[in-house]
Amino acid sequence: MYIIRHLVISTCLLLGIVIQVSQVAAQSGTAEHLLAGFHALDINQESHSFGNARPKVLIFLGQECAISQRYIPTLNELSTLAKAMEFDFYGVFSDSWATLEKAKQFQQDYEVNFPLILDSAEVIAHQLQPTAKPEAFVFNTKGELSYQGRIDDRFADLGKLRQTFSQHNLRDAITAVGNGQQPDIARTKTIGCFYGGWD
Amino acid sequence: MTAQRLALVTTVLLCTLFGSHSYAVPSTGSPTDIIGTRVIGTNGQFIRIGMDNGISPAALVFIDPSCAKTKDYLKDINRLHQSAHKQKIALYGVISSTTHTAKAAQAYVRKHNITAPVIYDGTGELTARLQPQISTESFMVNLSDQLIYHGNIDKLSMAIDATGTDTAIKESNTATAGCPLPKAQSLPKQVTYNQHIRPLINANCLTCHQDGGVAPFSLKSYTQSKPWAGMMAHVTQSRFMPPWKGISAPGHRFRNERRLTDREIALFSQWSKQGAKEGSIENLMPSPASDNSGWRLGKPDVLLTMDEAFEVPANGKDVYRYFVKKDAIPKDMVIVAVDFKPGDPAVVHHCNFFLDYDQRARKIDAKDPKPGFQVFGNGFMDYFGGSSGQFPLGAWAPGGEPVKLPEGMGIPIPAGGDFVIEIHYHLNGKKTKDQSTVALYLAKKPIQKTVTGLFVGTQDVKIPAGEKNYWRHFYMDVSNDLDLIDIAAHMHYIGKDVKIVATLPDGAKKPLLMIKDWDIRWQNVYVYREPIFIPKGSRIDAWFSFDNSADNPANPFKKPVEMKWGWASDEEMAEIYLTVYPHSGFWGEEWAAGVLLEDMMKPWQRGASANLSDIPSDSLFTL
Repeated sequence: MYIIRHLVISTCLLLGIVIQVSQVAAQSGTAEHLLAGFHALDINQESHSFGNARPKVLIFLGQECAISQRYIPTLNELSTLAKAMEFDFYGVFSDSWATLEKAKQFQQDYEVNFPLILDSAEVIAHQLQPTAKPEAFVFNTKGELSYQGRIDDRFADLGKLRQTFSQHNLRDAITAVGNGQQPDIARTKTIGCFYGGWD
Repeated sequence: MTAQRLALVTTVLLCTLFGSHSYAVPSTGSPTDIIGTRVIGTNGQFIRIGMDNGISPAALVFIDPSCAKTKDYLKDINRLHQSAHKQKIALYGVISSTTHTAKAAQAYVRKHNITAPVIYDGTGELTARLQPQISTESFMVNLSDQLIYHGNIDKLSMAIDATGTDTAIKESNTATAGCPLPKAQSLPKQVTYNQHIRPLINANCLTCHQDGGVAPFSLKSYTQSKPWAGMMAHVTQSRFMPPWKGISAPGHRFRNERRLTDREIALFSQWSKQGAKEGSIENLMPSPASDNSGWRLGKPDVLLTMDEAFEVPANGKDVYRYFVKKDAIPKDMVIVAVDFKPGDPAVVHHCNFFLDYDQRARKIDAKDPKPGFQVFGNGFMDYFGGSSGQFPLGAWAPGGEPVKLPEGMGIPIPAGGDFVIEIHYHLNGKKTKDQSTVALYLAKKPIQKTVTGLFVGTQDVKIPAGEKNYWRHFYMDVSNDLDLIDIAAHMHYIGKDVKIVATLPDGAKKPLLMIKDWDIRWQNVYVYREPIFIPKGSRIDAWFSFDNSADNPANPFKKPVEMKWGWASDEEMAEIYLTVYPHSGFWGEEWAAGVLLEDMMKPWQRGASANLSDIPSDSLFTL
């Protein structure tokens, strides 16, 4: 059975915000590719298709979220590792109040080395239901979700930074999926900024 | 679900929602929690009740603009404000949201030219606490925050005139005539941004959460605040925000306290649950003038800016660094306040100030090619080693308000010192530069009371690996009358609880400070509203606990190891710092910098004890 989803075609203007993400294809009820049919323009207007057979990391970020900001140097390292293992690696801003201008400023200020997607229409967020920012989603070559959760365990709680941490969950997930395996830990709880604008 | 069951569930829900946030009607002579309450005036300006200028008793007059009789009293309110002001009593009008919108309240104050500051009680907090029944009903609290007058406005002037005498209480509980006021709500049915949340944010959060502020995001408008509704509900509930850890006791609470009431926290929670609605424009209060525009205590007498900007890295462990201003004290001076402005507020987390008279810091600095030097692991201060060359001079933490010493008090500083600023940088993912500035305020008149600093602590610390609940106790016998002005505690990463109690010669206990769940990143100096008198023959006891288990996320070791006393981040400390005015010179009358001599400190400092049977219960410390 095919379910035709809401289409957001091409670039349109809504409240002055450029909608950069669209889902144009029908999705099969039996197909497992969670991102089939998703297309996006990154904030530098490069086009990306998410439904292909490359493994992927999507990481939800908040433009003003201190925990997201603090993780960017780590994410830059992880994106280098992931790219070397033939992954696509994206940062996603899925808030209705996220703006292109702030996204560009964020990319520049934090020297982000991976493409950033502005999902202010929250299309990707509705599909994946992230719980907090920054939350990582790792997909294997079939588009199956192999890992969802924190980057590592350095935050014990909001405002509680561990002095030593040992669980490098996102790195482990990338390494496992890159080697064609399922990560040992597939789901972790994310400590971060709450989503406030969608359910 | 049956109707009965539904009714039961509803009752339970209502009790949960409203039950714990209601206030009892205060009676005269009973303690209130009015002094220091953070509120917003009808003009949008931030007011701390009784703390506009130093600290003073406060009088509140509830005004109902729709009551014709109220108009007859407006002249009285202005006149009372004048006479109260002369007596150093802060008088405010209060217009409650139960009767009027913010805009209507503002228009009324303007139209009738009310010169007394008028609070708009948008959240209903003051109305809920004091529960006035009749328009122009008046309340007055003394410096100890006890209700000393509650009654009609006619007799308020007598209460004001009689401040400090018993007369005030005798005249209290007078009958009140006027229009009845609507009953105070424990919690409103619908919480909105404009009416409830904005005044709370403006009074409690905006100092840091504004553009260019210390916090990572601004909460200045509805558009900026709405996305954080869930987060605000969560972090206020857990009391992670506003950041404040110190608890003492009624009668000697902290002047720089920043805490929300349970009711205010419930408002944040309800706002988020109800969809973070904006509410009527009629309740939108004006924005306060930015307090980032200048120094909060006025033009400083001395400005000390770091010589060079320090490059703060994007990533890694937090940085603790010391910066030296050489020869910063060219002449003898008397300091009455210290303030601080971070160069890049996004990364400066907190700082401590020191004076160094034997150039110890500058010698260490010379060996480090970058601006300043890293010291965690090799403390530059040598007060344990017999030198009197270094001593601390206060601290700054985000959201902290600078406090001037009480009139007539000052810290004399001899010429010739270097000023040392210790900054804790909280890395935030981007490279930046910081060049911060310290401001010193000097006494304009000769002082009568020389204020000085005291360390009390123990080096007898040896925390076994894996020990979850390790306690140390130390004490100080007070050998001379003193006034305690402020207090701070110091541990490193695995510190857990702090309890400090003074036992007076008659056996009475004064709870001075409790900190639960210590966090090295939120080290505050806790300033008492008024100095606490601690007579000769008293004893100050301090208990410190540590969690050296692997469960403690702050433990610097993955596999816990024994931790001993030391300067390094993987060692621990247990100390309290007291700012005091000694009534007579047990250290001599000379410069304060001389008091930290090891030989003089000995009887004070070495009171370590393993006797832990008397650890005070948490309930001794109350709000």
